[in-house]
Amino acid sequence: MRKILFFLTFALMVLATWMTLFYAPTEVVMGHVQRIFYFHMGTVWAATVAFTVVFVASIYYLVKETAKWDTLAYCSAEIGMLLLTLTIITGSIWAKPVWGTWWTWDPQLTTTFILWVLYAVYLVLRSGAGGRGKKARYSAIFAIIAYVDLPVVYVSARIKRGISPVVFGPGGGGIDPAMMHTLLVTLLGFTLLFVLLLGERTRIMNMENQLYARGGRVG
Amino acid sequence: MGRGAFAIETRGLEKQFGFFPVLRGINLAVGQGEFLTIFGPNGAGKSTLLSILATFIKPGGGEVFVSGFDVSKEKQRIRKLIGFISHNTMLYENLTAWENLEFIGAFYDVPDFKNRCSDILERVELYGKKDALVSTLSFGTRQRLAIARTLLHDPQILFLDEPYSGLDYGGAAILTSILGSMKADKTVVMTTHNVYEGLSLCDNVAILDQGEVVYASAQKPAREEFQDIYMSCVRSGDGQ
Amino acid sequence: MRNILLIFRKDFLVEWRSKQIFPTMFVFSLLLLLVFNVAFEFRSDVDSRAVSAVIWITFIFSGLLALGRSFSLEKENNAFAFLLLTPVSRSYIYLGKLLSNTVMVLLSELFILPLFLLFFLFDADGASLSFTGTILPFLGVMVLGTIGFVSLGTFFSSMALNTKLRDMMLPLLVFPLIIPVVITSVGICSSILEGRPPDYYAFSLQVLVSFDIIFILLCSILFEYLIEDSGD
Repeated sequence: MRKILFFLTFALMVLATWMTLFYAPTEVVMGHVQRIFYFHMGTVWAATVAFTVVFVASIYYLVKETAKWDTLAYCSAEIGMLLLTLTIITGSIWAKPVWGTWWTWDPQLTTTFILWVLYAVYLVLRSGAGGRGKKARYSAIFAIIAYVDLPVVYVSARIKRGISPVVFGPGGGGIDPAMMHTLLVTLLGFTLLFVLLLGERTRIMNMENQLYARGGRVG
Repeated sequence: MGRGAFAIETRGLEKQFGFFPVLRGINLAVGQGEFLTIFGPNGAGKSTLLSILATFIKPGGGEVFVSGFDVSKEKQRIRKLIGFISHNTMLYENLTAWENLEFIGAFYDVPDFKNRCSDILERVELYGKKDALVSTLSFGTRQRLAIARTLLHDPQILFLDEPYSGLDYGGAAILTSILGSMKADKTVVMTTHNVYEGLSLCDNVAILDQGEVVYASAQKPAREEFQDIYMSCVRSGDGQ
Repeated sequence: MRNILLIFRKDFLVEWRSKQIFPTMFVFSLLLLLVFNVAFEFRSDVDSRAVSAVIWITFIFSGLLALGRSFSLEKENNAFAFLLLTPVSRSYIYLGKLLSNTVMVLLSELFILPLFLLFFLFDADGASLSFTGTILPFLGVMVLGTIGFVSLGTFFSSMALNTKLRDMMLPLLVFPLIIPVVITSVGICSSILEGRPPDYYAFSLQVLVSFDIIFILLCSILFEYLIEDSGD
């Protein structure tokens, strides 16, 4: 099962890379730099999935108090942070030639930045909470509040009118079918990549826990 | 399985702190109106056991019933019935003796509340100090106030965690007399180091060591005899 | 409701006698005020946006500092642990504490506010302070914004104190979460100071009120899990 998932992810990511570079047509206004947008969308989508997994796993942890939900939440948050960092980097690379700036405080970017900060705090909280049960409980509570906070952050950030164009949504104009195919393949690829990473990370985490329970020291 | 038969019942109670097991399969049953004293060295799990019974912390595994209610699911119903006294007074320093009683007592249904407060303060010989801030009281006095506050709502089941440590002679005498007068109808579980105080009031005895019940008896053993039992049961600890 | 008021009364009394929040907030605010004045080179022609930002940064920084200190009182002697033994609903404990903290923080803010107006606004160009037009709406926003950051501040102060990092943890946890309060409160206050009609900031006001409601509800539900002791 792990092998199948690995090869499937590998094949899809190779396909996504090929489609991004060669299959998708060059965007008329932005030119080649627009191609990075597929990976940008892929990472931000997978990061969203990751943080939703953190949210759901945290609720389950509070109700059931079984360690596996805590492990799942933690591993998912780690991978989410990685993906979100990639989102911000690819977004900046795209924004420099198109908007003329690496960064601007428009609602989507502000929200993304705060999202990043919130999960950074989540990881700090985990390292600084104390005992195992307390760490799991506190971080689960923080994750739930943070997840609920995000839409409010987004709405309040929109009070100042933003400049972020809606690229693929309604009003974004017609989109070439080839572009759509590329986007869908990339999204699927990153989703599988996330699932793969999450599976591996939880496996390692469980092994660490077992070692620790036997009295061995880890890290 | 008669859930109502015992005032307190645990079946296979387990608790871990992190990966460290503190309680490993505790089976205990205390009948209505019985007085159980739990002895054991430091770190045996006595306080943890009492904290779980008093709904302070959650059990890790097994079943625990207090007055027939499950401690995992029916905490609020248990809380109405129990009282807890520990060596830590848990009083508000910046409130007066009276305010401390009034505040905590208000969360229970206590009939004729004001008179009850006065009576209980008389009982622990503190009525004259009812308007003194707790921060100005001596340790022994605070301990007596803590006892008064716990008895305010007339709890059916009383948990005592090392209640005698820190009490002065007068306080210990008051506590002993109160416990003695309650014995008839209240269920009491006490943990202690002190063999003399521990044995004088109890009906049942248990010894806890390394998270397990290593000795339990429904009869009160003689003091000299008990010393030997304790030494032979306890493998580790502070060797009293 | 009766239980919430009981806890409010007790918390308020304890707080009043120990005097943690008020002096902490007041002195810290004065210091911040001084720092901001120096940073602005003692000019009084600062625009309303900056004034609003300065006021809210001062309120939030000094407020959180005071809340952190205030909760450490509760931990003293474990009196809080005894409260948890009583059959009172954990949500009420949170709500009572929230009420008491809000009142204390608001009282402190009321003392600080005139100083700000004195230092920053009275000489400002075109700043006309009318009671119904400026002061009253301003106080209204102050209440709503304060409820917003105190709701999360109260909640997380009990968490932060139980972590290894203790007081350091509180601002870390709370600041990113209360961004909406900062954005809306500062925005509304500067609109008010500019003399704009209420329509102009109605949406911000809605967001602020929603924030308050959402997080008071969420925190009072989660408070039980927060203080539930798993033992380690």
